[in-house]
Amino acid sequence: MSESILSIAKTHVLDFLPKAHDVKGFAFPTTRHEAWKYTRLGVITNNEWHVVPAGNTTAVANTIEVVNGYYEVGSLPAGVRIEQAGSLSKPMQERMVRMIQAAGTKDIFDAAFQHACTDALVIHISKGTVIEGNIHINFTITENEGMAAPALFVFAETHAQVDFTCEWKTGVGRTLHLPQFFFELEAEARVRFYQLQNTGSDEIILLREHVQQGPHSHFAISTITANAAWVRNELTIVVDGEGCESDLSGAYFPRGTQLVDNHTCVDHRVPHCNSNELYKGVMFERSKGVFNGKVFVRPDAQKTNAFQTNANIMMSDDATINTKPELEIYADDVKCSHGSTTGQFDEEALFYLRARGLGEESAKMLLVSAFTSDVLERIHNDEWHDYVREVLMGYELITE
Amino acid sequence: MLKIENLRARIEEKEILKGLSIEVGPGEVHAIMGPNGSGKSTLASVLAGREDYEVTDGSVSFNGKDLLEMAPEVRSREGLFLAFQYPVEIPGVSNMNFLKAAVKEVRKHRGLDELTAKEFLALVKEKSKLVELDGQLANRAVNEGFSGGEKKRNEIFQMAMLDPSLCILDETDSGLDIDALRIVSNGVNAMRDGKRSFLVITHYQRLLDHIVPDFVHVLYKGRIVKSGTKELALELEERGYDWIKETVDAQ
Repeated sequence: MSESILSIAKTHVLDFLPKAHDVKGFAFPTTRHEAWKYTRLGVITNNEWHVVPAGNTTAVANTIEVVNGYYEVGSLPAGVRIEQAGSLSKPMQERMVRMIQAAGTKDIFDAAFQHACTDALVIHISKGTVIEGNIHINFTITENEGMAAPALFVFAETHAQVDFTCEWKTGVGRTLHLPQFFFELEAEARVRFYQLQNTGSDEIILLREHVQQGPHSHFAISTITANAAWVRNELTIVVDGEGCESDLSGAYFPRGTQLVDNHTCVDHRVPHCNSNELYKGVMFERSKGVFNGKVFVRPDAQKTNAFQTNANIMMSDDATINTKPELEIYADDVKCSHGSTTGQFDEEALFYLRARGLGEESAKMLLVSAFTSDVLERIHNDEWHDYVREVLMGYELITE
Repeated sequence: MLKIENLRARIEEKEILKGLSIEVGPGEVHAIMGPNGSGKSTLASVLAGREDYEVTDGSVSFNGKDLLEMAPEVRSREGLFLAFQYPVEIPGVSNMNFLKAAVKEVRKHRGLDELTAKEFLALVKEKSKLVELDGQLANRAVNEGFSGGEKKRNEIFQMAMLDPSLCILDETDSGLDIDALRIVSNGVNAMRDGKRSFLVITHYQRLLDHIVPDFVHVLYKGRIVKSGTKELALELEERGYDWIKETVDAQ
């Protein structure tokens, strides 16, 4: 069954990347594996995937186009330096290898990423640089049954500040996005990464994000899944410097037979850090949702404040959600909480709105908008916030 | 305007309205009083279209149309307004956006042009004055964190915005202090124009000092057992409900 992904093993161009030496040694995980208990892989294993050649594209200023896993970078603001596969210095290659090795080769998807990764981009935000506006990244795959596994590295140096906006856009037919992102924040740096998953209805995203935070750094990430056949976001944040802030948020609105799976992990290793996590789901029709939120508070991580919430509303009797908070706390002077709710609509609220003249559908949409508004409010970029809302309104998921 | 005939309704297996009849003409104010558990709030809920209740018999005609056939939102657009006994808090939905959508739907149904943003704001300003509603409240989430009095004033404000032909006030006086009661009543009275009708449901007579009814009905065990003019309310205030209960139970 795994032959389809393995066929890409010969195509890689980034020779310096570590390789799981024998991809065939990995089988696809099954629902017997704890990490994949609720997430079936049929949509991946039942298809033939091939690595797609670079497409023709140009990128406008402040924009990065990632087509078929190859980067095309527009002019970027002063203070931003990029390195791309082909022009990577030896020390940078070694640094990347170390980071990929630290992330580990856990399963066939890590192995496949290492073998199918045809391009890598490194973005340095220089010391003290505060980027006005945002850098935008688009991901697309332009061939049916094409797969792409780009690597993205973001290094925010001391006191640097940058906002990214990122959209997965409609490509051609069935596609498989298999990217991995690596973020390193030095002391006092701030990186905000706002992404919108908005592909065609047959496209798949399996995204692995690795974040390393230095002292007093601030990392915020917002992942809004508007449309895709199957999405799994694995986000790991290692909080390794004191005084850090980590904000994780996401909203998902799966419809039909779509699946959205968010696996997050915040690893508090040092004292005096705050993490705040808020994910919300609106489950339609026969969709499936998975949320798994790990929080580790290591013995040294005293005075940690770690909060996690996952809330879901079921719009249909046929939808399912599996939600699991996993807090492991080994320090005694901490404030940690988690909350998980799954429910139907508040019928009283629905009746109240209808009794004032709103139709049932628009009343529901208004309640969905209200339910997810606090997630969208975590996008501290007005233009992007409005754009995400517009996209969601386009699918008639939320209303003004 | 409103004609209820032999209305029977139940919730799950329990019959609550047992053949209730009442007729409200244009411009009339009818008070419905009754002891706890007599079916007052059920009547309000059935008229507004709450789905928990099943109508098993009888009919309700509203401006000549079959009210019971209509979805709750259609009833509202047709001109029926229920001021809730317990207005619902809806975090995340702004009062303004909600009202804008509601006014739009209602006007569309009635064949009226959509209000411009400016006209809408002018209307909000005018109607919020009726109940001395602070402009700040209008901008908050629907009823969220409102005091009891603010919630009831918000109900009357919404009522004024939607310009109904029949207003049903379900225990609007409950939880109100004297000042709030006066403000809410003034708001209601300002809407009395000789054409608009009111069904005022209350346990106590005190609301009727402020909103003076044309007719008073006593609801007991799911039926109207006594009707009269405003003097009946005063008599109930003085004598309580027991003498009515005894008379009915003896029959």
